[in-house]
Amino acid sequence: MMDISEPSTRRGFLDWLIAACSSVAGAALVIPGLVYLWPAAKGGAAENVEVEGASDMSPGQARTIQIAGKAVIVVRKRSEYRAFLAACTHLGCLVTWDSSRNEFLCPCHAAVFDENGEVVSGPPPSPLPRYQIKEVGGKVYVSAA
Amino acid sequence: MGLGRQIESFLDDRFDTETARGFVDKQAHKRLPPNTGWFHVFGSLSLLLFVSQTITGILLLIYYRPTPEAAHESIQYITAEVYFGWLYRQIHAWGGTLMILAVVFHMVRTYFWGAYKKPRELTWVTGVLIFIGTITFGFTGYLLPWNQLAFWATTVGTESANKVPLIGSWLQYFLRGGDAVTGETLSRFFVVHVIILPWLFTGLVVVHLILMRLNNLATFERVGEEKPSPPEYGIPFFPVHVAKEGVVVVLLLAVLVTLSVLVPWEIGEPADPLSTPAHIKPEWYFLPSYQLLKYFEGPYGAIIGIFACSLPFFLLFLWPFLDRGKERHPKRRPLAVGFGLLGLLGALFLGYLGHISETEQTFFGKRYYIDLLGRPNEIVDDAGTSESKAH
Amino acid sequence: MAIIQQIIKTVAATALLSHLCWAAGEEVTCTTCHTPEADQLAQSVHVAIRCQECHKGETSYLLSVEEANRHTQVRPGGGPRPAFDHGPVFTGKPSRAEVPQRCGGCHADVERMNPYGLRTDQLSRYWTSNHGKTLANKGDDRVAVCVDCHGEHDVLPGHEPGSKTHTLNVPETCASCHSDRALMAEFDLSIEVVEEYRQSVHGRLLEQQDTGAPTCAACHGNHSAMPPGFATVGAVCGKCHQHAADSFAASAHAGMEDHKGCVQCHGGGEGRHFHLIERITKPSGVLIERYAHLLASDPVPDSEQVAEAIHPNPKQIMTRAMPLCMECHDEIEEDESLAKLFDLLDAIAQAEGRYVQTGRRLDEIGQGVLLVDRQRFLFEDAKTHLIELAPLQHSLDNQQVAGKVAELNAVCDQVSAELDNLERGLRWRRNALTPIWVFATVFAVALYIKFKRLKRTYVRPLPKGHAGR
Repeated sequence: MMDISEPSTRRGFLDWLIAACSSVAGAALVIPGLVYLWPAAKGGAAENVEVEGASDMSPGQARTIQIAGKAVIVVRKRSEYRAFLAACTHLGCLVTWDSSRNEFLCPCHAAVFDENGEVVSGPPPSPLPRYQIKEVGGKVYVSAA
Repeated sequence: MGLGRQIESFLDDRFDTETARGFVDKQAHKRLPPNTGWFHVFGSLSLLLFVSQTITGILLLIYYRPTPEAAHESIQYITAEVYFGWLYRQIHAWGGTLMILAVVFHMVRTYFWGAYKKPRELTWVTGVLIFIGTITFGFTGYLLPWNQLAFWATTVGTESANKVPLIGSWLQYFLRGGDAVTGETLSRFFVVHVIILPWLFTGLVVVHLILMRLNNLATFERVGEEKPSPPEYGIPFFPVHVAKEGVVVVLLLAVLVTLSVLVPWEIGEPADPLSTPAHIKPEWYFLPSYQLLKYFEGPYGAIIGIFACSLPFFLLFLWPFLDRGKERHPKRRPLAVGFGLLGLLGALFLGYLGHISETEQTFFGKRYYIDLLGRPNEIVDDAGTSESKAH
Repeated sequence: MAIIQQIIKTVAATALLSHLCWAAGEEVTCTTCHTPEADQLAQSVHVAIRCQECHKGETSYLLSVEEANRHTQVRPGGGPRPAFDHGPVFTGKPSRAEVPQRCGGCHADVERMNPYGLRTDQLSRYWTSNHGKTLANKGDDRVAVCVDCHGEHDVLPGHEPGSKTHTLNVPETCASCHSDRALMAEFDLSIEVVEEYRQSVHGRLLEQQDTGAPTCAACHGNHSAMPPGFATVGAVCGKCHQHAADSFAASAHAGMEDHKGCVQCHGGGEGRHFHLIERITKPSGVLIERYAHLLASDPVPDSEQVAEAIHPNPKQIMTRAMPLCMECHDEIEEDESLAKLFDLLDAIAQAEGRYVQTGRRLDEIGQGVLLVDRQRFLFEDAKTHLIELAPLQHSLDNQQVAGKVAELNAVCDQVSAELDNLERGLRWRRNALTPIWVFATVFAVALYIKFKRLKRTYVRPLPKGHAGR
């Protein structure tokens, strides 16, 4: 080993600089990689999605459609339409509409929601999230609330 | 007791950490020969680029879809929608090109430094395999964006497999997974590019590195007359050599990003099997073979052509066993150096001819049409016959 | 029934004749002498029609060998072959005046045309045309009859490219009479009309093999050929230019007593025969180009600067429209609503310039590494608005037109804004290179200094002359 005759402050600064640069470079390599992994998919707009053939639905009928990748159940009550997120708030199974009882049923754990999405019975902790309905010129559009 | 100490004692109780620590220390601080210079960084650069290709490749795989219907669109999606997708695609594309360059430079250095000689013949042979692997990476990866250039370059590339004697048509059928380049080809190339080659390649690199470590780097001393230099003359891998490579690595990363931003690879038109774009040429590293093959026509010519194209690779494999001279220093082995230079210049010249063939070029103020074989034909402007003369 | 009887008769006659032929000499048919006509017929749509159906007469004649040779073979010394008596039923070549009735014999016969799905009103329509009326009323057979447009023995259906009535050939077919100076002089008609048509916006389209372009027949009708009057010209043009016709009908110009309708402004040509149909209010390409160029500059100039840079007087832009308007309107300067209209036309020119520039930018950027598919899709709307603008101007309704211009501009603005955004991202990448290189240089230099120091610390310099050096 040879003797080092350098002022320790200069050496200290150099080491500090290299450490700082390495951290910056490391961050610059890792952070974009993590950002890259973040899903970029927009999956379509969650606004004013037309319910195809809504006018053909008879009163009491329901139809499940996809809005921005999520299942949304649209129910026709006489002339009025209602839409809810179809995923049960318990464990995410898709609910079905029972027109004879005017209730949503979850096939997984026998949960029941009423026509307003409120929990009637079963394990769900909260009502079904409701979607906005807009009727323009005979067409029905659904938007996330 | 700190967390580090706790982990240490946990491990100590379970296996002989002393040996492991000793091994790591020995490898990390191993002294490289004193003549290890700046030219010795290409090996580590190649390794660094391989690591970079692996990481960016895995990232691209997250969004890439290897079917003819979706491949091109998924590349567009990566480029346009995914955060930093453009960056990773560009770094992967440019990284591949730079990796081939780095491997070639590494081989050139090894050749002229005489480092392939005994006892390092096997290191060289694994190196040649790594070189072929790198090129195969390039060939298979080029098809994956499924754009016009890729599709037709692959069609032309696999077409030449047909010229291999006896098994040519079978080989072509096998490579393409059918009679033409289709989704089957894409699947094959994809699997080779992301599964088979990476593992083979990793294995080869590990063997290559172990062999390199066992024999240490070569000096310019004559074969069999190497004297172990006193350790204080050697350069410790860590921290001295690592600091040196750090300089190159930092610059290389900056160059990669710069190329990605300023000279981006275009996505191109989606592949259309029904229309061939004009002037289809392979990537630059295939240009010498591409040009060489053109000079051999007919049934026998094709065989000779394939032979001529594979000869350099056979020579590379066998070289350490053919050149058994004791000297390593380039000044003291003019024949081998001359031969190497000749081969290198020949490849460069053929590659250049391939690059300019079938284009118009201006030399010394005169315009020439370079034909298929690289012969210049002067273009005369005044007469209408100039076109016919040019062709 | 009559037809069946006819057929039975013909068959019987043929059988009888061929029987006699054996006994007395050579059988001669029409084609023996009339080979060229027979060949033409064989290539035509009438291939299944026999000569007798138009010319009557026998299907074959029984002649002695000498007699047949006298009529059929070329004589050694040349000279005409002797005339041949085709018999009493034969009607020969119809006169020009007879042609319509002759063709109509079949073509106006509903029962006869039914299997071919052809209409049968051509003959009655022909009699309503100027051609037919002149023939019927004045007995003047220099007018066009069926064979002039359809050919004689070589009639082809209109969809065949070789047909005289194929869309691409119609102007040429009409020109065979209507560009004939001597003939047209007799009817006091212009011989310029076809040439004017060819130079018109429609003719130029046809020239480019656009079979959708209207030919003479599209406006005049074919069998009922008749020039439309000024009162009806709007209806004729409106068959294709529906939106323009609608807008025009709602405008102040519609229904004016001495307004000639569409051709008032669009019809030009020598002596105003109105065949040189041309668009007029469309801003000139030069002007649009100047606007596109101006709008591409950075920063984009405001409307006043644009107006100043291009033309001090905005009314100059409508070089073709101005004199036309001046024919009826005396003082454009004093007519406030007209002055407004011209301002609007300038706004249209500007909007179109912006459209051209945006489209150009879209192409330019699309060739690089950025994806502009979405923006291209958006831009399609701009094209629709632009196309809608032209007919809308006929309404002379400033508010409507200004609304459409605003819609067009809004789309171009949106596309431009999105392109700006994309390009900003690209610029950001380029700009980021500077700090990256500053950082890389600092880092590399620091590492290099560190390397030198470490080397000095750890490695002893080799003595001179060492083999490893």
